Amino acid sequence: MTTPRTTAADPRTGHPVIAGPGTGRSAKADPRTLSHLHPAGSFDLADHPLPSGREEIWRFTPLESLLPLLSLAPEQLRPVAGPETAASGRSALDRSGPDSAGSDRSGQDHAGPDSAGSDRSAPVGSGSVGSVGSGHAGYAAPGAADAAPVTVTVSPADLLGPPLAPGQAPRGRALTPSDRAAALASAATPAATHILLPAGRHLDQPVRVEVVGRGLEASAHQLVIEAGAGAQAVVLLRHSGVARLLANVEVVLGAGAELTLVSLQDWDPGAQHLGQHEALVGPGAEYRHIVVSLGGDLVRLQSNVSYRDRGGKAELFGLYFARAGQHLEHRLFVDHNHPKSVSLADYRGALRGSGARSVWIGDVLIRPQAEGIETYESNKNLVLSDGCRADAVPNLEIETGDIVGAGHSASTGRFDQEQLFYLGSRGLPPDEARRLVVRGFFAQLLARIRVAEVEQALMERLDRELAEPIDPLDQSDPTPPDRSAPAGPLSPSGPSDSSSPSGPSDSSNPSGLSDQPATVRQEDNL
Amino acid sequence: MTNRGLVISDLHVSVTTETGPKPILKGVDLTIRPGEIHAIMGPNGSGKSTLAYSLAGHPKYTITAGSALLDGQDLAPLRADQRAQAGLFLAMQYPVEVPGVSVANFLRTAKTALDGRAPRLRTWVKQVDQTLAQLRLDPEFAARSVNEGFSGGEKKRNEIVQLELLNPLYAILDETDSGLDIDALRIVSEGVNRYAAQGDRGVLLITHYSRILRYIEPDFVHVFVDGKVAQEGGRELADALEEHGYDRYLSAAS
Repeated sequence: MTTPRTTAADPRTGHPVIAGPGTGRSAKADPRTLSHLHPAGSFDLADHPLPSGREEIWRFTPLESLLPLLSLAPEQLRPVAGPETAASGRSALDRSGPDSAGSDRSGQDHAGPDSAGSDRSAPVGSGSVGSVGSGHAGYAAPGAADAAPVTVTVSPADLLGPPLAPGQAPRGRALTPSDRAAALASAATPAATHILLPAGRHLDQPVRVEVVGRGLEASAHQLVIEAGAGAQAVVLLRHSGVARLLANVEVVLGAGAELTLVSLQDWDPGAQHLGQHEALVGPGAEYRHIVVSLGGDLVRLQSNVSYRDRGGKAELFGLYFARAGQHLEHRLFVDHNHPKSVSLADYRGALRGSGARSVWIGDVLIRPQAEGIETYESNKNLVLSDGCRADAVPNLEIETGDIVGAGHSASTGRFDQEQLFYLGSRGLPPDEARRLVVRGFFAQLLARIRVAEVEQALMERLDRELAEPIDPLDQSDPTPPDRSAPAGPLSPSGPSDSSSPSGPSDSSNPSGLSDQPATVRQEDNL
Repeated sequence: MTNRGLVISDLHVSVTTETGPKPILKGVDLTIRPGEIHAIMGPNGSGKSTLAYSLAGHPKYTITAGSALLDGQDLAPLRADQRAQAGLFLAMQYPVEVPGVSVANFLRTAKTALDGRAPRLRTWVKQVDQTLAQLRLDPEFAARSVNEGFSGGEKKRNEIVQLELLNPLYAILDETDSGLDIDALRIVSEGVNRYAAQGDRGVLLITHYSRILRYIEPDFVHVFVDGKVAQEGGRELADALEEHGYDRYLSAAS
């Protein structure tokens, strides 16, 4: 189906094997050219040994807080309770999607969505209207649902396909774990949540996926999104509550499909979230991946893209706001493995407060056969106060001479005094001027999302983040805003929709809790 | 009121440099009364722009002696935004880009900050549209990021849009004419004249060339050399400068 996506690594160490000049591997001669940037993927946990921190892919990550999680065996991780088991009582169906009212569809009614999906297994389950809980039995480990620390719901639920076992297509078609976190997530997820976006169908309302954590017991999840040929949809994936979660998202786009996937990391303090998002972009398909990381103690997402054929397009956008003690890490790997493919990455972040930390790694590989491609990646960081650190590493590996354009840029800076003076001379007090600059900084990115309701919700969110005065000399982090307050389209669509049966999930945040971990972290960093 | 005016007395200003403070203004005396247009002309490096920036409150410039009073209020202790609140405006020689902030948002935010309340939406939008039209700027101009990708002429016209809409008591125009073609110069000058025609506003026009003074009639012309005013006169002084240049002032100063 595709050129094997072989990036080399020493299987014992996980380190990338460098195929540079003098290695005897001619790029032209070997279509399976090795990437200098990216270790090979593998489902085998043994190929991803416990990191020491010296590995290229782990050297920016605070491992001391992660080793307990990464040391676990797959069977020690709790599978996230799937949509069916979690959505008892008021189900995800109650969040009326445009298609769910009065409909008697269930997941298996959809025709095979993907022109290339003929190898997709036959749907299972027997969901019917009014008996949501009975469909797709075995979605989560039996009996695990009641106590599962993390649950996932999908609405409209009629887009749910049969849960996917490891290796059950399309699971595994796009995603091969590139690090231990992803390999653990995969191995510990016996039944992946499966969203089917039917071929040719244009969904005019976003598909909402709510991942809600209620405890720090280590959990694992995999979401597989299959967009059929010509399908058009927006998927809003929101993470909230508190969890220690290893979670992969695998996206397979059929020919000409247009998918916008927004992944919002809206965690409460204390959360750890690692995972791999990987898309296989079909010919002429457009994939837009938008990462928004605001909450949690540690977020590390590896977002990968490759192409199934010529002419796919991927836009990778990210927005993050790191506060005292938070570590937000975003790693990209775009594999231009087919001609005429396009990728565009724009990640922007702001940091404030002691120990606020961001990492951005942007790896782009242009293989010898990938002629006529175009890529640009950019990362910008705005440091709002002392005591923060932002790392930005763009890497471009070009193995063909025939490209339309390839470039990258990264910058990390503080406020521009001339800009602040200009705004001040128009009557804006310093704090208001700074806020306007930060707003503008992110507004440029939001305008690229092209989903109006998402743009608006994110801007409102940012305004809350920026509500307190910004003092560049102050390392302390003012009380963070109530991050879990409803934020329009990125939240469940109304209070009545808080369907989770087990109490506080995402609608209220005991505000006394919200600073505490940050304060503790701050001391750690002094 | 006798103290109305922008009254600059024996003003000494230093600029912060890597090697320490460097004196630029060395005793400027200048009084701009409401309703007056003053032009300051002078060679490069004479301190004209420093005067503009230090009056507006740029943090790089420090008033070391003398004073600048706006309608009796001492500007020295005020931040830039407080000076703007007091009624001062600076049209910049090099307007700064503010990425992601639209002209419309910028104008509304500034107006709100200056007035202490948001302008009434309907009249404001109309006013903005009208002012843009007068400066020959498309309505779509309001949606663009402030000064980002603007041509030199657009930047200067945008400064005059702000002058007219924010309507300060005193306006300093720092080489607003430089980089403008003939048409843009005329359009910008018309804007300044509309502002000045209110009759009770003070204008301090800083320029290299007398060209703009064909469009904006100054009441007073000051020749600025080596950090202070070397000569004062009327319109005819500008014509003389155009003919003879600054040479005789420079040789006198050195």
